[in-house]
Amino acid sequence: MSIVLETINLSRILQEGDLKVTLVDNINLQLASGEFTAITGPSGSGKSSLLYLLGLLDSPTQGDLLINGQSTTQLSEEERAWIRLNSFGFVFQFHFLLAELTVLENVMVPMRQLGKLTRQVMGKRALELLAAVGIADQSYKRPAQLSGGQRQRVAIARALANDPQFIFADEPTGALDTKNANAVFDLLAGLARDQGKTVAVVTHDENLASKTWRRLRMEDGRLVDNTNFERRLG
Amino acid sequence: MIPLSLLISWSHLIVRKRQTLASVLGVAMGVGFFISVSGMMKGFHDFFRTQIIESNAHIVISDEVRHPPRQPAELTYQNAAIQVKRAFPQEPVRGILGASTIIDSLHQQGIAAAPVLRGQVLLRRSGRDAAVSMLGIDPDIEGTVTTLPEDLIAGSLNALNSVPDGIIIGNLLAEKLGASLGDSLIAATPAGIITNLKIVGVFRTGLNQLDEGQTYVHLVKQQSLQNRPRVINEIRIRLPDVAQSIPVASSLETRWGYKAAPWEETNSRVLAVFQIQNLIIYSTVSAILIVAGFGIFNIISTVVLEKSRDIAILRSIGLNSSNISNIFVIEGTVVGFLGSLMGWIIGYGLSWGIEQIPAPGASDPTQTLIVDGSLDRYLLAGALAVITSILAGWLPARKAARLNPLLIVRGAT
Repeated sequence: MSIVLETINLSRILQEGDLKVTLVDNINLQLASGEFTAITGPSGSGKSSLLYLLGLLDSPTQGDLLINGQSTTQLSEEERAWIRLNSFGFVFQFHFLLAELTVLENVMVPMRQLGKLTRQVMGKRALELLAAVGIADQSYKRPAQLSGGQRQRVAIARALANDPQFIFADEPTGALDTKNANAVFDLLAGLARDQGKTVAVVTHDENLASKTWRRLRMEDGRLVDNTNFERRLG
Repeated sequence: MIPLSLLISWSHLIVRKRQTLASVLGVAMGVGFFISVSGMMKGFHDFFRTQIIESNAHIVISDEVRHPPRQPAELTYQNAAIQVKRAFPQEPVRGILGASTIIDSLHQQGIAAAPVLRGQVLLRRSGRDAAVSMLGIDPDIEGTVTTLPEDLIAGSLNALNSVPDGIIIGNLLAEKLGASLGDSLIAATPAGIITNLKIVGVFRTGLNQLDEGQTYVHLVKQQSLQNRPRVINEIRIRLPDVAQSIPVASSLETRWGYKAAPWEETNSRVLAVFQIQNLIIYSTVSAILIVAGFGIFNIISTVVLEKSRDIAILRSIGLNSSNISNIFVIEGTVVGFLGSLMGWIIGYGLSWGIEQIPAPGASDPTQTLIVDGSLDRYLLAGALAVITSILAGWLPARKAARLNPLLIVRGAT
């Protein structure tokens, strides 16, 4: 169990004219490989903002973010895109599938962008991923023909396309019913447990958050509760 | 394998079949009209230009000088602020001195040249008058410098040799005077000579200016009618290569001192009109392409707006901004290429159609409009269309590339 992601005094301040809003306030935290972490808190507490900073979708105004020990603050936008493509998988509340492509093609999008595999291998891998999330039989349908739960599974399969080291999920169950929400959480837990991926989930659902192994609670941009931190690391 | 950007752009185009087709058609119409309309203009200009070049000499040496010689009084009192009264200007004898030397020298260089005495004449028949210019020519060599022998629709050039009072007139002038081959005309010249001339030939060049206002008689006859024996005031020259007319004319002028006007100078007004026509036609047909470009811009801008969610997720996944802008530039490019291909077919069809229309006002009733269908016209129209389309895709693409994915994924949460 090693530390793969570390923040040092990470802050994100939004400034528009005289208005100054601190989204993320001086956060120090560490995530280990194979760790399944929930970030909870009331709306506006900065939990999503923190996740976007961790996922290199946003840049901190202060502090540093180390990924596998490497500082990321000096990276260009191209380099950050490259890290996202190689090492990160994202799942959002909205599935964000491309409506014109089939389910299988959607899962192949990150692989095509990476361009390391042949077309046959990509197709095979995409089918395996869809099978792993339990919807292999829907592969050749369009996203519009799928249910909400199924679409979110496709989004998870897509997030796994390039076998990323990290999975970042922002309210992945927000649009799902309890049954589907539980299934998605079990999927994410499996990724951390069985494949050693580092999974961070933002959720406001305390019930679901209790399924994770570690809970970070945020209020007003600050980390207020870091319980269970030692449990997993120990 | 198809690159990702191409796959996504293609999916956008396929899903919006009607809009895509409309923008492709817009470009195709622009390209089609560009090809056919500018081709028609070019065809007309080329036809007219050929007529001018064929019916006229390539270069005309005339008994004029570019700068009139200075008068003796001016030479005597150079830079003087004096006025010499009653100083009559020298009146040199008009005509090209040593014309035969010039002609011989040209012939030795392998350039066709023929002597002409040009003068005015008033022709009258049955109460109808026409003031026209009359050229005294050498019937034996006139055919080497102009197409007069081929332009004759009645009579012959050689008749000028056998009939001393013979005159050759244009078909329009013949109509105007109500005269035809074999009829007699009364001719009055500025020299005060009045005589009868017999029509021994009628020509048609297709250029109204000539068909209505130019007549030919034998050089010797003209010299006596104008009372200018042995005088020649024009040498008409035909070059093996018409493109050389300007440099050859300027070297002739330098060598002999007389004004040597290439056909471009003689017809400069017509050529200026051509240029203005070109300007109007090309700006009009280019405007069609630009309007088509606005159509593409509009559609791709809409796609960028509609697809902002897709753009956001693609950015999150790890596509960089140039990957994103490529998607929309490719859409513009595809529309441009498809439009060009379709436009070539439309342009070819329109050109064919235009060529079936009889030319209005042509002297030859079977003459139809001519469309220049050269390949470079197609390539130019295609290139313009593709450039416009790429630009029309690039502008919204830039906006798409700058879109902050965070605003979208956050907004949807």
